[in-house]
Amino acid sequence: MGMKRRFEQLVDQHGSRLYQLARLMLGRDDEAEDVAQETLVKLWRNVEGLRAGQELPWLITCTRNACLDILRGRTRTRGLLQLVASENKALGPANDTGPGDEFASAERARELRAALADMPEPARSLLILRDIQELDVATVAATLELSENQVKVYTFRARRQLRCRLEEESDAQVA
Amino acid sequence: MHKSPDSFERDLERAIALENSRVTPHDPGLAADWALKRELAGLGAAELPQRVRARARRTALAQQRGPWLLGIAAALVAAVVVTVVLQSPARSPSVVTPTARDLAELQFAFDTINRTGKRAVALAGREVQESLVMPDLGLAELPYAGYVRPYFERPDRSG
Repeated sequence: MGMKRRFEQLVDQHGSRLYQLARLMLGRDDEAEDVAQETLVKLWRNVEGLRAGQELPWLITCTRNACLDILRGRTRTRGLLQLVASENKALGPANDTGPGDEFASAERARELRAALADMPEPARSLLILRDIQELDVATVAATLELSENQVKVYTFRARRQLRCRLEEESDAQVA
Repeated sequence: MHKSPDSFERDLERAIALENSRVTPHDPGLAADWALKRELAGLGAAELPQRVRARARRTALAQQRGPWLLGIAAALVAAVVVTVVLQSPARSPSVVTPTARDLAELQFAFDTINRTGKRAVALAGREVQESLVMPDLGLAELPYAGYVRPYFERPDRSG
């Protein structure tokens, strides 16, 4: 198979997943697009050397590392200007809420995404990869360099942690 | 996430129970986890924007073309340099050693220029001397004008 054809095939198969991962990790469309583009360019450069079956863990690792770099940079330069910019450029109405969605469910989805973006690593990645993208345990384990049992337990704990945070927020709003 | 081994085993059992559950579990905690898991799964997918794909392809192709373009440019420059070198006449550096006759002729030329120059200056001086008007330098106001004036008024001021 030609390099170009394999590249196109991999982008067809995994491009949207990578973009969604970046979007959920970063909470911003523009940065997620940059990360997805950067990952695809890396894929083009490395596509010949990638073994069959190893592409997805490799792609997720690239995307996740790029996101973590951005998040680390954000932590370093957090300031008022950035907060204002983030509010202006936060995730748009998105392609995951259809026109018929209720306002309440859209609001709930926004809450979930915001809470998810605030989760520490690797809890956030585990929840995105396992619960949202529904990737199999083996692929996630290979990507995050964990054992399969660790993936299961850590995902379970991450979900509990997320639930606690959402409940606390909800209680705070009621109070 | 690093808790005791017992806790790990207990959480593993619950995680597996949750994964295998097709309906809401009876345990209230697991039921809440199950509901959240379904909610997260319902967040849906995001489509990779076509512009991102196109931009990535363009960037990748440009990067791929980069070395080729540089190679072509380098080859062109090398070709021009080789052509210029090959077409230029072979010039071996020559070392000129003047003969005694050459040196004598050169010395004679210098002497002639020197002699003629001096004669021309002297002749010109004599010719214009009479026509020159001594400028008023205001020497009378100087305290020792009497000593200075003869020097300026002397036709030959060389010493």
